[in-house]
Amino acid sequence: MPHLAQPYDYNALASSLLNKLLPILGRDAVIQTSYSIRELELTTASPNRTHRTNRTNEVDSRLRGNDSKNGNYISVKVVRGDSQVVFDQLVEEFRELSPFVVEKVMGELHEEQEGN
Amino acid sequence: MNEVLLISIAVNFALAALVVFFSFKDEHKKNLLTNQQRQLSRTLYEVSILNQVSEKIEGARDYPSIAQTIALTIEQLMEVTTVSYAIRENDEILAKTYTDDNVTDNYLKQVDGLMRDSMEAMDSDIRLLHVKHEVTRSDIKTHSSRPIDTFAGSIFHIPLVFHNTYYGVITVTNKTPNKYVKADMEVLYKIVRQTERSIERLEEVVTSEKGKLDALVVSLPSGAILLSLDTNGYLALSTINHAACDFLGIPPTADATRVIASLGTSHDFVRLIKDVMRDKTSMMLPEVPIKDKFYKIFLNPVFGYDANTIIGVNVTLQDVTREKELDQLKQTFTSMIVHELRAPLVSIKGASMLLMGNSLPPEEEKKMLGTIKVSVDRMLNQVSDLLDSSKLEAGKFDISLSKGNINSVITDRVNILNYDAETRKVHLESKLDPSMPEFEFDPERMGQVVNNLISNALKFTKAGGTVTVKSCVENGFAAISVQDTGVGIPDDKKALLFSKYSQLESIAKSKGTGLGLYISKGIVEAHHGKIKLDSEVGKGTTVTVMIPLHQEKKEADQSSSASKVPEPITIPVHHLPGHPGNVVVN
Repeated sequence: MPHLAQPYDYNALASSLLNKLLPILGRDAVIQTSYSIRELELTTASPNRTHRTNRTNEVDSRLRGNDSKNGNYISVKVVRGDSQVVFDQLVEEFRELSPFVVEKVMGELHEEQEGN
Repeated sequence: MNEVLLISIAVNFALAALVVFFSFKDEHKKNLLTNQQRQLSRTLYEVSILNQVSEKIEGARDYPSIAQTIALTIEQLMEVTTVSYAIRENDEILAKTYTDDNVTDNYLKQVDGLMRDSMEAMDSDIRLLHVKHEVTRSDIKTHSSRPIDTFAGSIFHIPLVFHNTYYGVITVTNKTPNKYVKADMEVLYKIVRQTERSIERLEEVVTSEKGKLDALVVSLPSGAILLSLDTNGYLALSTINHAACDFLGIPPTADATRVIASLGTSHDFVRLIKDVMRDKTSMMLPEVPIKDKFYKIFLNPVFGYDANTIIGVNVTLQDVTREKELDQLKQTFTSMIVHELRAPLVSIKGASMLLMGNSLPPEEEKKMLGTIKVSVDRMLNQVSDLLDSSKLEAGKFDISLSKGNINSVITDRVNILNYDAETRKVHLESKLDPSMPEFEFDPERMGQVVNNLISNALKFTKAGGTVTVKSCVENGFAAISVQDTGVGIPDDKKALLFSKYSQLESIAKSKGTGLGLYISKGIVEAHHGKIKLDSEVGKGTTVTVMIPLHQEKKEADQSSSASKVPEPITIPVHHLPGHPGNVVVN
């Protein structure tokens, strides 16, 4: 797996990760897996305001309401602990589900970070 | 009193604390047990699902079937509105959704879109492929009394990856939001990953076994061809080994049509292959002419893993040209022996009848008696040759060793055959090494060998030619060679020359059984010696006999040496083991 070197905005990285995984693994797989990490707070993003929530159905309904072709569906914020450690934990959770998919998505993230 | 009250309260508190403590402890224990029980149930659940999946998949290696099996297993495990799979197969996407009659087309369209999004996110090239989406209704009970025409409330996709390559996705939806908890999904992802690993292991085993078989097939001296049915039901060439390419004169890249055409026109091979596949029985063609050779051809059906489905035909070719030649030689030999024995008998009968008439003058009577004697001697020689060859075959050929001078044996034979040489106008000469030491050999049998070699040389040398008999000492051996300036022996005849039934065409026209060289070889080998042949067509032939000057063992070894004489050439009889239903065509 390509390693992401410091310093990075792990909240942004986690958001990118989830939004890349969202169409591949589906809403429930992404949201339920993310919620298993307590240090994370999941929010949905819209152009004007951020809805902060920890309830799946609320995130889910907002996801449905958004246009899938415009921007991110989900924003993620690490609310406790070391953001890198929490990010790595999130990656491992998804790796448990599908290592191949996580490898591909992390590769894309790495390329994007290099590009930036 | 207060003290008593205080003590009583304190005791009560202590008791209450103990009760609380133990009840917490009990609760903790209960939770622990419940968790363990839950963990155990979950493990058993996973094992049972994996068993189900592996039983259903069995040896299947086609990914759409595997995806279908997993999808149907999921449908049995959890409440779903739809369960679908989409998998890349060649240049299209095969998709299938299982649902019931309550689900509307709009809902299904949404599922189709979700699957496409998932696949395209993994591989952007997929958007260019044609999707063949089939819907099977009523396999699933959604328990809904009203048509389901809403957004999918719960969705998750399970990517299918085999050998590190993305092939497709399994998609599960439910009309109800938040239907699936993480643990449910984890189990399914785990099942799919285990299945992927099992398939990969199966493929590794299959690849490894195929590699071993290919190596075996390639190294076979027989021609081996495997024609398999492709997905369209046409025969395609799967494997052809070097021997088959050599036999048929085709490159390994030839296609099935060319391979079948190269089998010749003696049989309708297309029809025969169809017959083998239809009847599921093997077939053997004993003698098929291909180019300038003959082959025994076996056609065997090849069964799939279920031992009932035919997946192709195996064609095996065995070169039987030499066996056929030997068969021919045997037939010629038998006719020749009968003829050879009959000819002197006719002479004897004629001479006897004339003698019985008592009308011949004494000189003529003497001539007739001479004719009878010559005929009887000829028959005796022929019968002796036949007996010797039988002894050689039976391993009962004995030699009687005694110390002697091989040069004098050679000289005796040269003197006897000089008359024959003069008649043929062939110059017979001998160049013998005077320093040749005495050694142990069977003088009568070695005389027979020298006689055979010189006689053969004379037969094959035209008038004006020369036959030279030499002797010398060479590396502890007495080397006796007979060299002629005759017609020479073609390369393809050399191998058969010392065999029992060998007889060159020109010999066949002359008198004799043709067993001379076969018997000579047996005699030489009984002496622990060797016999070799050098010949060039048009230039002549040299046959050299090497007899060791020191026999390692004497009397005790003489009988055993006879068992070391050359094995008779056997004609192999081929069977098809395990195929009692073989059909012989022809």
